[in-house]
Amino acid sequence: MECNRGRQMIHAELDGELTEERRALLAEHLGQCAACAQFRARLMALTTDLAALPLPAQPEGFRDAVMGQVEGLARKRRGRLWGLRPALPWVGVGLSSSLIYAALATGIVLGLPQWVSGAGERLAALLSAGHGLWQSSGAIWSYASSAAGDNAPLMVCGLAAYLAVLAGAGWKFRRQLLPAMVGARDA
Amino acid sequence: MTELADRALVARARRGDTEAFGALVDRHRQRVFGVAYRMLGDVEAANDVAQEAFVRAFERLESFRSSGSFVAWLVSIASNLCIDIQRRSRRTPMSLDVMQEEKGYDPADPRQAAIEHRLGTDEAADAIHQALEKLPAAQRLAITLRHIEGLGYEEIGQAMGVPVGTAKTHVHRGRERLARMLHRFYAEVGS
Repeated sequence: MECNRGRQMIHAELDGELTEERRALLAEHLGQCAACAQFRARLMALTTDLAALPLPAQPEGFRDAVMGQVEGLARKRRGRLWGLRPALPWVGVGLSSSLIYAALATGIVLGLPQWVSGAGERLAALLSAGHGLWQSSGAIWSYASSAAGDNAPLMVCGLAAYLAVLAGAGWKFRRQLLPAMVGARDA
Repeated sequence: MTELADRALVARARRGDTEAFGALVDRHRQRVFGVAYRMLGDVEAANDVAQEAFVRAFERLESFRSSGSFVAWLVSIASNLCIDIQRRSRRTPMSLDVMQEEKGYDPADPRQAAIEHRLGTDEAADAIHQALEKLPAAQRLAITLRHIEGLGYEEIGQAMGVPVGTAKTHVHRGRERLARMLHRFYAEVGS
């Protein structure tokens, strides 16, 4: 066996990765090669000494110093979440009304051709892939327009109420959510 | 077992239980301080790095992957902080006097026995410390994690952000380099 191979096996032995078969090969080589035997003995001694190296005592107060900072961070985190609490109803109202009006707006855009007599069928024929969506959004529009009784002023009032809610949610976002998010990013 | 306990504590700490994080600090403070000390060779700097590593770990607890080793993740934070400090200050190796003053030598410590028995003096520990300081940073960290902290190669690879094979190469080269640097102390061994 070459010495390079023998030294690789010595490292494997130190790592606890030498099979019995290879261990026997290594022993045979070490019996014939004084340089590799010395190399092995020195590495063994070195690794024993490394494991026994003393470590200086850690300065006192380590745990308190770390936990002081950790408690501070945890309080800040809890405070941020608590501070968001008053804004949550507004966020809920804003999101739910957005979803409702997004559905209505989809109905207006995609259902409009159905409203114009005959145009819907032609569009549906051209966009067969979007047929299902067109049908369902048309149904939403039909429901919304029947609920409003085909009353355009009522629809305008609904839209105005939606915009008011959106503006309120935006104001809350700017006053409460945004500073909290910026604080979280900077922390 | 240790990893399972660590993961349970991490899960509790993620839910805001700071006592659980305190338990993680108690379990690993010595190891993190040890790695930082071997990397920097200075007690105060190592203590600062260890503190900072734990605080950063708490801040980034959400980014810890539960499939990995918590110790390795913690050590990677500490070693990156050490590397940043070394880059900034371009530290020179610590003098022998400072090392002797700081190494906290305790003749009653049974761990001294292996070294003292061999050489009849604590000179060997100083020589090994100095030789460690002269190793390239990657080899020094790999040797520290493997032979001083007793981590497995999987964990060393994770801590160093390298494949297992590369971690082994750093350890093997580090061992040989140390043995060459310390040939005077090991001259009688195996001859």
